[in-house]
Formats: sequence, structure tokens, C-alpha cells
Amino acid sequence: MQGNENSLKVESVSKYYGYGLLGLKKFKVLDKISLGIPLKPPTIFAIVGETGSGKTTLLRIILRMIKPDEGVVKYKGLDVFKLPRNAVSWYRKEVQPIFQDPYESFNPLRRVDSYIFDAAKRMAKVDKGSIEEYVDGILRYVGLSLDRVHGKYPHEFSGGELQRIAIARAIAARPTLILADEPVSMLDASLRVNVLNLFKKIRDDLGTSIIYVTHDLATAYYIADQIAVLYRGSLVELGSIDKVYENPRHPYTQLLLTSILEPDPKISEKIKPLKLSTIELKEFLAQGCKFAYRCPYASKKCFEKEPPNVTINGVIVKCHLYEKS
Amino acid sequence: MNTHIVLSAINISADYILDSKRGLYLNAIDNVSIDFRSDEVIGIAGESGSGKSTLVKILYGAAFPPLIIRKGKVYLFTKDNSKIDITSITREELRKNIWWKHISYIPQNAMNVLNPVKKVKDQFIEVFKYHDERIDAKETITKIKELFMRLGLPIEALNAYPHQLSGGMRQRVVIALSLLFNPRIVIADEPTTAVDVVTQLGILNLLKDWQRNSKTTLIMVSHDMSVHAYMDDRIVVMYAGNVVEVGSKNDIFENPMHPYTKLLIASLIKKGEKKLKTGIAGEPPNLLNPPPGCRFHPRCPFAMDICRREAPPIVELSDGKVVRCWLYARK
Amino acid sequence: MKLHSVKSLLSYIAKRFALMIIMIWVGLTLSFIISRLLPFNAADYLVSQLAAAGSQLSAQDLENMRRQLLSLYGLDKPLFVQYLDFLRNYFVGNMGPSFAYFPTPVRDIIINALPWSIVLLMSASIINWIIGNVIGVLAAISKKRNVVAVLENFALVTVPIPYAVLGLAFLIVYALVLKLPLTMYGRPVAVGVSLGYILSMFERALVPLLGLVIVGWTGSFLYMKNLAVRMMQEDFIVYKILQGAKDRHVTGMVFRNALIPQYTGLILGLTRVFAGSMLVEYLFNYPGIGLILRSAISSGDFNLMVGIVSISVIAVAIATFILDLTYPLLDPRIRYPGAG
Repeated sequence: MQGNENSLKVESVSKYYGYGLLGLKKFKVLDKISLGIPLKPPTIFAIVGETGSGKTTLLRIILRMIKPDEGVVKYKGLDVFKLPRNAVSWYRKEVQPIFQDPYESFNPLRRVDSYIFDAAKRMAKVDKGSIEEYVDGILRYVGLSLDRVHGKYPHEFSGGELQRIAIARAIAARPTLILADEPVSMLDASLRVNVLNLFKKIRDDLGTSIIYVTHDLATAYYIADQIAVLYRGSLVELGSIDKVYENPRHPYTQLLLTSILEPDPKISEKIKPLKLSTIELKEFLAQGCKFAYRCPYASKKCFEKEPPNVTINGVIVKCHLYEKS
Repeated sequence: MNTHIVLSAINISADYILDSKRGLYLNAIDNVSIDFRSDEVIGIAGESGSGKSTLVKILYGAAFPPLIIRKGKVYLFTKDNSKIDITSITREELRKNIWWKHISYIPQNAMNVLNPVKKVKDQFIEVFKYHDERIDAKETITKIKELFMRLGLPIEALNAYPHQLSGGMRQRVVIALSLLFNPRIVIADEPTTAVDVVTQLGILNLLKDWQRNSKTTLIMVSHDMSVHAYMDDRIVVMYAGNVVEVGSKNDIFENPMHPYTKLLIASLIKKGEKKLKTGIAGEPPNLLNPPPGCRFHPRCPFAMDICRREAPPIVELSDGKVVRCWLYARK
Repeated sequence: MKLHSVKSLLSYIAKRFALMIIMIWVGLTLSFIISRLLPFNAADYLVSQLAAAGSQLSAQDLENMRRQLLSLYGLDKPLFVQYLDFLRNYFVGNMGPSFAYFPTPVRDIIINALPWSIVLLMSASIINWIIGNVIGVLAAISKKRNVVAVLENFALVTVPIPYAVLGLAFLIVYALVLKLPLTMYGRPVAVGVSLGYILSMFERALVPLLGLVIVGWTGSFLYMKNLAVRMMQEDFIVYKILQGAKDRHVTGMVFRNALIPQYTGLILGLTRVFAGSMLVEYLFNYPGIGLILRSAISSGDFNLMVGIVSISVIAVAIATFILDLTYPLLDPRIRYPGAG
């Protein structure tokens, strides 16, 4: 065991997918990603990227659903893919997922309360006598109650309620880390804030770290402490969210920040449009910087050489612009 | 400004028949009236289940079973100012003369609406055939190429199959299709859900530029208030099958009248905000059995006695503002 | 076409071809193993028939005879040697002699019977496929609910009934109720490839074909109807309707898109031709592969059995290979793998 024991560490993880005729040609959906998520103090860590940025693949790797082709994931100093057999169920309890579509994460023929009872019994090892009280307490914590949920099936709930039940199921296991994959993107705006507030509460009251995967920078800023920005499988900027937000250095982060639409007509009028890209695969295969094709500052070097990771003021930026010559 | 009404929905009520034998109906639209004017972007905002998609289906004349119109009319005003009732003319008439020529449609989920086994070019040529537009092949291609140039789409996309294009590109092809016959009204139903922020901005600009240049009517349906903030001139806010408020963009965002609109605007997270916000408590009602009186009253902090008993009146305020709420009713 | 795409195309074909060869090898090996696992063999069968016929041979003589037969058939060698011989012979197209019709080569027997099965079963497969699919799409789109309901109920009732019952029922209706002619079955079959041979083949195939078609289209009908009903809900079809597509355009599009999965069904269905249809051929006394397989099984004729099964195995492997090569022509999503 080594390093910071109270963190989840992703160390130069790469994952390849095939494409083309027969899928013989390979491209990297994740390209040497390294990041660390502190478990103490509890942190909300946002992973931001567009579709195809590799954020969901990264999440699946952390959840042990798929194996990386290169690199390791270490949880509290242990290699997640080389855990002894008895530690696998421990890891499954420690790290809990929450998925995008709550209707797809519950079996439509199974009562939803049974999921929370299962998590309480099998993972948190709550004893029989106090289990109902425990489950009710957790449901009340997310704004529901056992009376309301008892004996009901997924279709009897709205999307917002079901997502809160999914959160209840996750925290019933008493995890140290929650992985939430676009947990609010299917919810209506007026309910979204409630769920995001719940995540803040979980971090502060329960001391659980949360990885919040999203394409929405505004909500990321609203709840997160740290941020990692992914573009076409490579990590372009990583650091404290305040610093990245106030002073985005990577041209892609800058573009992302200026293209977000605002629910505010005054700011909306200032947004400048931008040419659209049709070159996704080409970008994945790029030798140098994957953003070079769309970058206003791109030079010849950007197309040829992979940019270095430069640390400025505690923020890691993968860009030739900030290279010390 | 010299604008006129192009489309007018009057007192529309519509149900989804779930089980006609047991009398199970879902009241999706309840007494909705809206005028749509030329040269404007009018947004229809609302959460899932608010009836916005159902409403535009009715406006388009595509109210197929199980959706039935109980009451009301939709009038389309043609160039020579005659009036066509879309709810009562035949399917064939709609298909041949109204759709795509007067009013066209950009569907939800636009990335997946192209026929996977036909080249993009052929999907354009087909639309000419549907409407018996007999022009020769060369002329057709020139016309499509012109449209592509005008919309800044690469000509090579014409010879591709849909799956060879990126999602954003397919979406733009669908937009180009909808503009093929220069319609006077375009309905865009959630045109940018499921695309990236950067692509979203590009697509919205495409639509906005086209609307500004052609001075036509763009009806934008979206659950995303930031899309409305960027695109709209006027906004219609729907809740549980009712239009609760209609107003100019600035009125809706800065001076919302209806309690639902107020709470909705207050719950939106703006860029660079960390201050704790509150959402709207409770859940939208089940339309199989909507609450009596105002459909928002169970979640409304201002609910009064009358709100629980009687449906609120439609109150017209100055400057074309409309709000459906007892708070503003003059007695 | 650029050079590298030609190369990758060739490597695609080569891979599929290799896969086909492996499939054939595995199939042949399995049919060899299964034939050897049977509790009796051709020599035992012959000897036991002789014994049963009450011949005056002593037990010693019978045993000697059995040994001779075994060595004649090559069944006395170690199993592994038999297997190697078997593979080597099949490689050059020699399927060995039939035991029951010794020493007629299995190949000749199959070649004689195969055209009969092909004429009957292949035309039945193709006709059923076309009728089923066309009516299926029309039924999915049609507004005449009554007609559709009648067709659908007929299909739902007939599909689960075994053909033994349906075929017999058809025969009874044909011969006893309608009293239609069956005289062609009395005439002898012309020998050798001649006009008369081909004519008699079609003449004999007509009645069983009718029987196969009348109840056989229902399977692909039901499948296609469900496929088309689901396809009518697909976003791209609904979009076409809203674009103002005429009904016939919609029908054409549904058919074109549903054809992709149905094509697999057709090609794989055609491979069944090579196994013959024991039931149909028995019922109509039709001299196809099925009848021969029946006699091969009952007389323990390993070589013939394995020969017939192998033909099916090879047919399925080749059909899969053809599917892999032709699918891209039907589906551009396979022809040009996606970019975005």
C-alpha cells in the first residue's frame, strides 16, 4: 500500500475501441488519464465533457465494469482490478453508482423498497430489528418516507422521486464514494436543484465524496469542489473549480464556458456562435492535441506533438500554449 | 412592427384515450388559446408532461389516436388571408398542401429520424415526390445544394448515408429538410436535446439566422429555459396541460407573474452561481386525475381557497401579457 | 477504390472464408462422432436381419460374417484412423460407399435425390417467404381490420400445429373431399436427365408444394407483420408521414427496412432444403433427401447418414458466408462503417 490512502487514484488509464471494417483499427477513447479524488475531506469532483469525451468509459472503469487496457485504478492504495476476492464486495459497498435514467436502473417488476432493504442488509449490515427504522430514516433524508415508498413499483413514481430513491439506495450502503453519471439530466429544471442540493447535503452531513459526471458546466460549478475537463478521451484541464471557472486556460475549456446557454436573456445576447465540427473520429486519432482542429490558437506543433501537462497555480492544463520553453 | 397572425389556436382541449371502455382519459391539453404571429420566435416552455409536445402535434394537424381533440380549432391563415381549420380538413389535404409547404416540423430526437438505408440526397428528392413537385433531377439537386450553402452545410453530406454523419450534422440535415419549401411556419420540438453545448449553439444559430432573414414564424418547443432565453421573442409557459403565462422574453425572465413561472425562474442555475437555490416542492400532478381548481395549487405557496375549487380564469394584462391565475383576476 | 480499402476488403473475405471452413470442419466432426455413438452399426443390422430371417448359419458363421462386413465397411479400424480417413475422403468429395446399398457411393445416392428436394423445398421456401412478407407488411399498414384479423387468426392457429397433422389434413381434403387427381404418383419416375425426368419432377412436386404453401406462409407473415407494426412506430417512419409521404411511400420504406432481418431468415431457411423434409416426402411419397435419410437411419447406414448431415452442415456454412458477403449490399450501415 502506498500513496495517499484516503483517495481514489486513476493512474494513466487508457482504453481502446475498434472501428472501421471489422473494427480492426483502434482508437483511444481514454488517453492516459490521471486524476485523484480525495475521500477525506469529502469532495464533489466534477468530470465534465461532451458526448464522446470518454467520461462514461472512465466511470465504468472506476466501477470495475470494464478493464482499462493500460494503467491502474487505486482505491485507498489498493489496485481495484487486483483485489483479493473478499475485497471485491467491500469495494462494491464502498463505491456506489447512480445512473442517468432512474427508470432503467430499477427492475420494473421489483418493488423499489426492496433495493434499499437489500443495500442496508447486505452492504451496511444493519440488523433485522432496526432495519425498517434505518430505511425510513434514509428515505426521509432524501425527502420521502417508507410509508410512501413501501410496496410500490418503479412506474408508480415520477422521474424526480425515483432518482431520489436511487440516491437513497446508494447511501443506504454507507459508501465512501458515490459515482453519479448525469444524475439530473433527465429531470425537469424545477426538480433538478433539489437533487443537486441533496448531493451537497450528502457531502456535508455524511462525509461521502461524490464524482459528478456531467456535460453541464453550470450545475458542475453549482455543486463541485474540483473539476476535470475531458475532450476526446484526453484530460485537458484539472483543478479546483473556482480557479478553472474564473480563469479557464485550456482553449477548449474557454470554448465550453462561452458556449453554455444561460437562462438569462441579458447574458444570452452576448454569446457568440462558433463553427460546428464534423471531424470527431479524426480528432480521436490525432497525433498531437485532439482539440487542434478547432482551436483558434493552434500552431503546427499542436498537430504534431502531444501537449505536455503544465501546472499553473495548482491547475493542470494539457496545452502547448503554457509550455515553458 | 407590421406583423400579422399566421396561426391561431382557440380553446383547445385534448385527451389521450387510455382505455375507452373504462373511460380512462388523460387530459393532456386543457383550454389553450394562443396566437402565433409572423416574424417571431415563440417559445413553448414546460416540463415533461406539461403538454407542450402534444400541443404542437395538434397545431401541426397530427393529432392521431389515441390523441383526440375534444374541443377547439386551429386556424392557419394563408398568404391571401383565407382561413383553413387544420383540425377539420382531410389528412390528404393536409399531407399534400399544408405540411412542408405552409408549416413544417423538426421532430424531437432529430438525429434518428432519417431513413438509415437511403442517402441524404435521396431523402431530399423524396420530399419533392411526396408533394408532387415535378421538377427535373438536375434542378432538384441545384435547389438542394443552394439550401445547403445557405445553411453552411457541407455539400459532401448529400452523398452520405445518415449513419456516416455525426449527430449534430444529422440534426442540421433535418433542419435543412424542413426548410426545403420555404414554409411560413416551422415547429421545432426540442431540436437540440441530446447534442453537446457547442453543437447546440451552432444549431440554434442556424435556426435563428434563417428566421431573421425570412421573417417567418419559428415555434420553439423546449424544456430548457436557457434555450428560450437565447432564442425567443415571446414565451408561452405551460404547466400540466394549461398555458399558465404568455409574455415577452424579458417579462417572463425578469417579471414573471404566475407563481409557477416565478418559482421556475428562481430555481434556474446560472453560470457561476454557487448560492443555494430552491426547487419547486412536490411533483407535477397526474393528469389521469388532475387536482380540482388550479392544477398548480398543491405546489403553490400562494394558494387560496378559490384555487382549490375553481379553475382560474385567463387574465389578459397589458402588452399582450396573459396569465392564468386567481391572483390577477379582477372581481 | 483505394488500395488499402481493397486490402481490408480482401482480409474481411478471407476471415469469413476461414470461419466457414472451421464451421464445416466442426460440423463434420460432430456428425462423425454422433454417428459412431449410435448403439448399433450397419454390420450388426445386416447380420441381425439375416438371423431374424431364419437362415441356417451358425453363430460362428454369423460372427465371421459380421467381422467381414466390418472390415469391408472400414469399421474395424481404430476410431481415430476412421476419423482421419473420413476427413481425407470428404476433402476430395468422396463420401464413401453406402452400407445399405453397397457398394453404391453415397455421393451418387445424394446426387440423385437432391434435385427433387431442391425443386420442392426451395420453391416452397421462396414462395412462402414472398407471400408471407408481402402480406405481412400490407396487414401492418392496412386499415381493413377485419381482413387482417382473419389472416392473423388463421396464422396463429396453424403455426403451432405440426406439419404431420396439417399435411395429412391437406391430403385428405385434396384427395378425398375435393377428389383432385393424384395419378402422377402411380407413374414410374423417368431415369436420367431428360425432359421427361424434369417434367415428372415438377408434376410430382406440385401437390406437396401446394400443401407446403397453403399453411407455410404463416410463419413469415406473423413475423413480418409484427416487425412492420413495430417499424411503423420508428421515429424515421413517423417523420416521413409528417413530411407528407404518401401511403405507398411509407409501405415501401417499411418493407425495405424490414427486409434486412428477413433476408437472414430466407437464406438460412433455404439451407434446410439440403436436409430434405422427411415428413413431407414420406407423406407424398416424394423421392427426395428426406426419404433417403429415413431409410439410412433405420438401416444403420452411417455413411449415408453422415453424408446427408454433412451436406446440410456445408450448406449452412456456405449460406452464412454468403450472408456475410451480401449483407453489406443490403445495409449501408455495414457497407460503410460509421464515422461519427
